[in-house]
Amino acid sequence: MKKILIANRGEIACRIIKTAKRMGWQTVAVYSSADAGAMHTTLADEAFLIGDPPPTSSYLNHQVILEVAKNAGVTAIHPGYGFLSENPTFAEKCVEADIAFVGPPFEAVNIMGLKGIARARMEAVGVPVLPGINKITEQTTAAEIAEIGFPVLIKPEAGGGGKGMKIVHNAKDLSAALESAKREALSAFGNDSLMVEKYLLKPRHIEIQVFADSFGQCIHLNERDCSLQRRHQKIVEESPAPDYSDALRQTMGAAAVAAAQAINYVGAGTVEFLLSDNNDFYFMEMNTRLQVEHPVTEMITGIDLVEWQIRIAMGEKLPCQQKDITIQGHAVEVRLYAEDPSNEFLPVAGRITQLALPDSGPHLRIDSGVQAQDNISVYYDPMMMKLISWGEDRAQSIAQLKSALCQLHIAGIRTNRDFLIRMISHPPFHLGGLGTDYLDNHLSDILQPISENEQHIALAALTIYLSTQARYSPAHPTAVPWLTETGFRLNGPAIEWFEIESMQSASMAKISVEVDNQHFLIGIDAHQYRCQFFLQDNVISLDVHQQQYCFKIHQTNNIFTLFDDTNSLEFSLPNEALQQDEDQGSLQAPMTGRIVSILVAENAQVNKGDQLAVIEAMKMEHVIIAPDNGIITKVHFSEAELVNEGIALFDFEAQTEDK
Amino acid sequence: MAVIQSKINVHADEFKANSAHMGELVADLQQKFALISKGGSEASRQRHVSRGKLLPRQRIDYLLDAGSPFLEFSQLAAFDMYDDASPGASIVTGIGRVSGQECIIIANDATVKGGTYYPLTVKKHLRAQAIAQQNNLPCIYLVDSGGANLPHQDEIFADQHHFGQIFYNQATMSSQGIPQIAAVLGSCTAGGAYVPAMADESIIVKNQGTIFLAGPPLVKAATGEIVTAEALGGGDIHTRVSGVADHLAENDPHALQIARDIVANLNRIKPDQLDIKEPRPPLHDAKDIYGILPTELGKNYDVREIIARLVDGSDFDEFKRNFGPTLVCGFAHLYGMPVGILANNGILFSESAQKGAHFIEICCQRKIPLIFLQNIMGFMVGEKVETEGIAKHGAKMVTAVACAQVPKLTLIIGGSFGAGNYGMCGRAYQPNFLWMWPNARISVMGGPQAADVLAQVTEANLEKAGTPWSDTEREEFRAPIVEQYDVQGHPYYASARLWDDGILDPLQTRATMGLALSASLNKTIPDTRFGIFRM
Repeated sequence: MKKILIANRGEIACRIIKTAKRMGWQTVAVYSSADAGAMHTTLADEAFLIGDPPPTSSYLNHQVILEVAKNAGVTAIHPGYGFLSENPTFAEKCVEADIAFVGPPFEAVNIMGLKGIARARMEAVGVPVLPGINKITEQTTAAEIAEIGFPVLIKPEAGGGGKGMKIVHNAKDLSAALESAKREALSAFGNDSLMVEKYLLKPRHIEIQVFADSFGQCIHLNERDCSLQRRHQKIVEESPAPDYSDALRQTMGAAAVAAAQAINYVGAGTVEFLLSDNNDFYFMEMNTRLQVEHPVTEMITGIDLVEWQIRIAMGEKLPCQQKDITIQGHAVEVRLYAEDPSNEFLPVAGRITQLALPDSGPHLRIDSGVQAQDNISVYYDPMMMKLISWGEDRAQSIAQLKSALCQLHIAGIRTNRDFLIRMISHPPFHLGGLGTDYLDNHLSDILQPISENEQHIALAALTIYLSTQARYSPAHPTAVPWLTETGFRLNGPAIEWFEIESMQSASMAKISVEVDNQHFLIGIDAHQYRCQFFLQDNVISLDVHQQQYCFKIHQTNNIFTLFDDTNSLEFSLPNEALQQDEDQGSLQAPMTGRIVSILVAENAQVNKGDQLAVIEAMKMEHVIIAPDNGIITKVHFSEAELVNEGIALFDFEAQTEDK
Repeated sequence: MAVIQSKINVHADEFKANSAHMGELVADLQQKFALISKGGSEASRQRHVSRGKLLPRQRIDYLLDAGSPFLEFSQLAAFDMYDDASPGASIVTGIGRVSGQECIIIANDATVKGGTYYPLTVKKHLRAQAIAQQNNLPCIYLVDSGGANLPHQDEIFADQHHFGQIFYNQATMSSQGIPQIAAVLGSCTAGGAYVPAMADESIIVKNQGTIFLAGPPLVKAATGEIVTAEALGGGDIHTRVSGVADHLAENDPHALQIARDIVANLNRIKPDQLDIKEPRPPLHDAKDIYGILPTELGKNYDVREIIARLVDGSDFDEFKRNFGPTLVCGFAHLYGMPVGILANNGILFSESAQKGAHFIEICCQRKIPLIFLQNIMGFMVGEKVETEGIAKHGAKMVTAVACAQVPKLTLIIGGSFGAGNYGMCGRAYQPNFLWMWPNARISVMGGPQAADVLAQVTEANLEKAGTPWSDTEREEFRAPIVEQYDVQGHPYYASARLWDDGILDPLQTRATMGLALSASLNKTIPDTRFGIFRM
């Protein structure tokens, strides 16, 4: 029996295992100690621990993975995306070990992995490319870069996914951007060489899925529009692209096929283009792997790309020709991340305490790698799952996707769910054809904060819930009056008050409750709400001043998550974890992550605004800045250490100037 | 079960008049309590708050689970006493739920004379501890007191039920496994220092709480040593050096949170001991009680009308309905908990006393808690009943009441006079809780009856001396006696002296009794062994 090892984790490992199993393959998962018990390890027929949580010790460790592969007797290794998927050395080692690498030949990976060379190769076969410099060297002058014409985009030669990419709008910012891009490129890909090219304003990101076999046949499976990006991170992907002609589909498809053939490509690949508003297109890069967003292509073509990958890796021919490829309906995908949109989308770590998924089916696909009680660690990409909706047309698929997102309830960890709902409800998105810069420029329109009234209604619901529930030990049958006679006070009105922190606005609300016949009078700060309610299990329906509201409530320790139609609101009861004021004068980690650099020494004199440290969590760098003039009296961590959110990095003594 | 059919006419003039009268009584009670609940003077409270301290009732709010009821005791303690200088006897006591457990909370009010103990403060503190002991409830002391109120030392210090019993109770309750938790939120001086020291676990707020046997002035006077309060007995010293306290808190809310955490770790389980039914509200509106209760005590009404407005579904299974009908006995449920009810429906006769004793025996055998609804002018008098042995029949009932080990809840809904008070579980019979309604009166006998008895004795003496006594003179003799009995029998007078645990609005009675009954079930109901019944 054939056996395949999936050298990956999370949703993509799960997704590959499903297809491999359907094809009758035995499946082997590998996992780091952070992923013990994770979904991909339980789905596979066998699972092997390959090392410590840091990817270099586990998912990037060629030697251990190949050893496991040999010992388990696997026929093939599927690298998924990320990790080793575009690592030619690993691909080569697989071949040496006589294990099929489910991916292109390492020579092709090599060429496309180095973007400068790839550009040159593309230019040679007539695929349009953006003006730029293929490799920045010591000799490259700022003037040469300026000649391309600002804005320019600096990107690492190796890698992808937005890591280390910097847009530079003027000459003044150039050196700082190069420095930072270099550092990120080195840490992400172990290679700090950079390239630069012209940056198009309002371009669309159109990518073409190509497939080639080792018999010289190459076809494309239509395009994907991935223009909705936030800082180069794709958020919504769809196929077919809206506002996109058949003629363009043919032209760009042919260019993509030409690009693949120019490097003797085999397997699944994606040729990414920028499409300008006058339908000029430029080659950006080719991803020599399965893409995160491949399911939208699968939904509209009915083809299982992973199955094709495996077949081709096993030396089979492409099962069909270009003319057989059709488009059925429309598919849209969104990516659910563990991140905090209200805090600059910083990735978050933590435990998923509740996970309720919408029903999936032929019209809704959920590619997930997580389950309730999973811990989202700081070590890996914070993407938890993808939701892919298929409809007869674009409008239907978007409507379905929105409905699915609204039914997706996840608690215990912040996610971009609400943001995704707002994004796909945003009217310009419905028109289609937005550029890659749209989201960055219109983020504030989409990230509208929840209104005070919405907050208050949710608080009122939570208050009633708290008032009518036993918050601690399961209710003893004789405890009934203690639970139902809410806020009872002898010879006075029933009243209670407590403080709840709203985590979306980081503010405390002072709540009072009076029970008056069938009504709850809820005071929130200076406002009064007269409520009637119906509570069943953890769903509360509320009638406030003749308006109806409904919330589902989930509790994790002292944190309550309330879901209404489109929002998830978090509140915490503060008395559980009392904040002590001792932390004044220390600088805390804004997120859980790894310290990239410590820029000051102990006892250093710093000025307000000085950079003290750089922290990286997965894809973003965050700089810690001196809040005032003063002295760093203690440095608690050194470079490369992992730190948890809220932990003090420095002790700081502010100096007030004498006046 | 049998649902009580109400025969009340809510449109009758009498009903409306009764209703208005009771409304006034309740309004007066609420008004008086609203004033008492403020504690000390505005200036004193301001000073307290300006030090970053919470007021005693706020402390309790922080301590309780969100939405927890607070069943307060002795709200009118020291009312109209000590020149009204000690509202609520400057201490707040009651039962509330903390981390899911029903606990006794005893909080000093430092806004009244520094939280010092008046004689009734001691009595109220001891009463709360007695409730804790009788019902097996953890005690949480929120200490902020300067100790004994020195001008009243002769009524505070030396006797059995004086200050020393507070610590005796702490020691003996702790020995019985009833947790004793103290949070020192202010001063805790002299004898008071033993409250945290005797506690199982204690908390102190830094730069705010102090514990010492003698404060800086006394130390200076005694030894000449000059020392600050914080160095002498502050939180840091006691949690780091002396070990008098266990937990150091940043401020009041933090201390109260620690107290909550301590309770969460008590590992106590409420016993399962009753057959609990689904709780149901009564079928009839409790508000009707206002209209049912006559404005004069002697007037008759059917006490079943009251029961119908207190118990689940107005369901009441009566026992021996046709025998001794002046005492109504039967089974009902309160918030799903089974109860046996004894309610006066006239004066007690031999039969009613025997019936009562029989019913109490049944309830003790079945471990069903008892509720006494007292409205009793006394036992029947006269040759007929004396010769049939009403004294021994009454004695049977008193024996049964005294020995009954099930939870006993007494509510005085009208008169509580003479031996009727004993047979119906008055204070001396140690009911777990005892309350009065605002219309109730309590004394050895009714005012007019006492006046009559005394007038008869006087008249007889005058007659012997051959002095005539006019009707006017007789009335002039009677009036001050009636007046005295009315004042001293008034619920405010009774409550001020802690003859009861509080005065209830009939509308809050079901909830109060439900909460109290639920709390009393923290103790496993023991078997009852009765004394000798005179047959």
